[in-house]
Amino acid sequence: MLKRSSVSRQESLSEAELLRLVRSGDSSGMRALYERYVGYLTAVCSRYVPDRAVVKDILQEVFVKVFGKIEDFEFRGEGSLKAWMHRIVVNDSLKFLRDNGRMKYVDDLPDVEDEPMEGLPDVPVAVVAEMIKALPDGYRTVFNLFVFEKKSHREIAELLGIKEDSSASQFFRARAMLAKNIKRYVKENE
Amino acid sequence: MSSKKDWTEGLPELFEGYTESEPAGLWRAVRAGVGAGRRRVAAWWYGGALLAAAAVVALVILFRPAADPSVVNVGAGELVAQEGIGADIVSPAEEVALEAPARQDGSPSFRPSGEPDPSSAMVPDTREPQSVSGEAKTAEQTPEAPNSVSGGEKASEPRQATVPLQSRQPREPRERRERQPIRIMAGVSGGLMAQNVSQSGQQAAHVASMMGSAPAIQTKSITGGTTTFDPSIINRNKPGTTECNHRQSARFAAGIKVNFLPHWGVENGIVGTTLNSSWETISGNSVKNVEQEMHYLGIPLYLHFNALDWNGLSLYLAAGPMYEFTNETSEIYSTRLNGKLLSSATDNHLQKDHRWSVNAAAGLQLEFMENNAIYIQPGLSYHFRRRNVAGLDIQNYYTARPASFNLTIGYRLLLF
Repeated sequence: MLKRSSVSRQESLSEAELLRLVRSGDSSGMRALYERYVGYLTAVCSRYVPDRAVVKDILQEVFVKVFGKIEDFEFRGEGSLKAWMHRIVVNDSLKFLRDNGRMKYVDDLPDVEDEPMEGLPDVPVAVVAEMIKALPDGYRTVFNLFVFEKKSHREIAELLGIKEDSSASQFFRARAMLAKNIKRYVKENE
Repeated sequence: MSSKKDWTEGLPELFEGYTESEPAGLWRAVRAGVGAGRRRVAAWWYGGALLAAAAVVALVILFRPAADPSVVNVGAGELVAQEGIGADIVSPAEEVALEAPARQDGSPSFRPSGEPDPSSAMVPDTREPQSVSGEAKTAEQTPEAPNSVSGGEKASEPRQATVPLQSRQPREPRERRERQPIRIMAGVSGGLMAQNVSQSGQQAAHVASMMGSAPAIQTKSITGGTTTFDPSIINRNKPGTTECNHRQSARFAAGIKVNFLPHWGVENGIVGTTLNSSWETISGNSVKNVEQEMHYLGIPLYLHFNALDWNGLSLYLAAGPMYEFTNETSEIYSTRLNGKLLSSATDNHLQKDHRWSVNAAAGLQLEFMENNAIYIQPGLSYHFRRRNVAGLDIQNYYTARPASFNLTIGYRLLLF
């Protein structure tokens, strides 16, 4: 009864070909671009904002921006389009967190004992993703920026308006909490 | 931080191909947003086109040709131009029952004011002017009268209620017979009496006064339908009551909706509604029913706000004006005496009406295919009053209940 998508995934198309389709006004090209990257961008956005409804709003804005500004995008090889969309998602997610007062970097939480862990155990990616989402807002944001966006603590501090020491402290706590949760998961599923 | 490779450094590679399912309704929201951004100019064009269409409609209404005076707008009880026979069609019985003063002798008056209208004395043939009393007398004295008194009223009774002979106007020339309106006047009791019938109807008038079984008087409407009047239902001396009932059917619609902002859109289309009205006049042991049916077509112009959207199912609010019009009315007359159907007639005739209304609704829409949706939409509407060309208000659901609830079911083409 409910509407089902009738657009087939055009995974064989390169990013350059996709760009050409979208820029020519082909609606199937827009749909193909959307289908190719929506899953990845949803995962990226969800790491910053666990709320599903908010993820939808952010991604809507992202895709509207992408399709609106795609004429101005400078293609720099395969993968550049994906990277461009990734940056837009991260920036919009941070903007949402900032505008909604979710960027609280407090150190009044109980100290978390560092859990040394050599290497990442064999844990499903989806489980790790859920553990990251479960981190407090401040921990999660700094952790994502440091680990996935590969920003330094100085850059994170400038980006979030916090001290560099706070950024390091937030990351340390996030890592410890995550390690503890991973170990517990491994122990429970042995 | 440890100088050794931290376990977190492996996370980006781990998450490289990781994806999650998209939120429900995301593509539709993206499409709406993209369409809004790209078609903002088109929205202005659509708005201009709609304004132009509204201006054309307004010009047509303002400068439409005047109605043919020989063609009168008819609701139940309004005047109808008929061919051939100058029988009068009743005004709404309840109006007469409420307004017409009763004579002391119990005989009915022909008009609500109690004063007969000399202009209503229409005799379609070229014979000498005759009052009803004169006709009755003639009928009485004429051995060829097909029906004699069978226990009914005396032939002299109509004489008491007739227009004096000297006040009657001369007969109309034969060549104008076809354009004479026909009226059936209501008496105080709410019954019916035929007045000023043609030669062929004189016998019927006589019979009408006899209160016995009588042949029906047949008249033709301008559209060619036939109306049968059975005068035997007259029951002058008993009070009558009239019950009126107006109904509105569900609306059925088809339209196009254009989104100009992520949550906002404009809808235009066509809406069909049927209005049914019934009048039941009970006078003693006689019951007269009139069923009226009017079909309206409406052109709405609604502003939409999409409140919720989930997987093709959406909840929205809509508001705006609608212009409705109709061209024809269908009426069914029936009379019963002691529970037995005596006569019935159907009359379809011109009935021009147009109305503006303002509407507000909340609806549920299901997009079953891309850009195609069906919906159900309960709402409120207010219909503004107007008068028809004859200066008489049309009586139907819109006039009886200007502010009312309605239910619209329809199909919608989604554009963006």
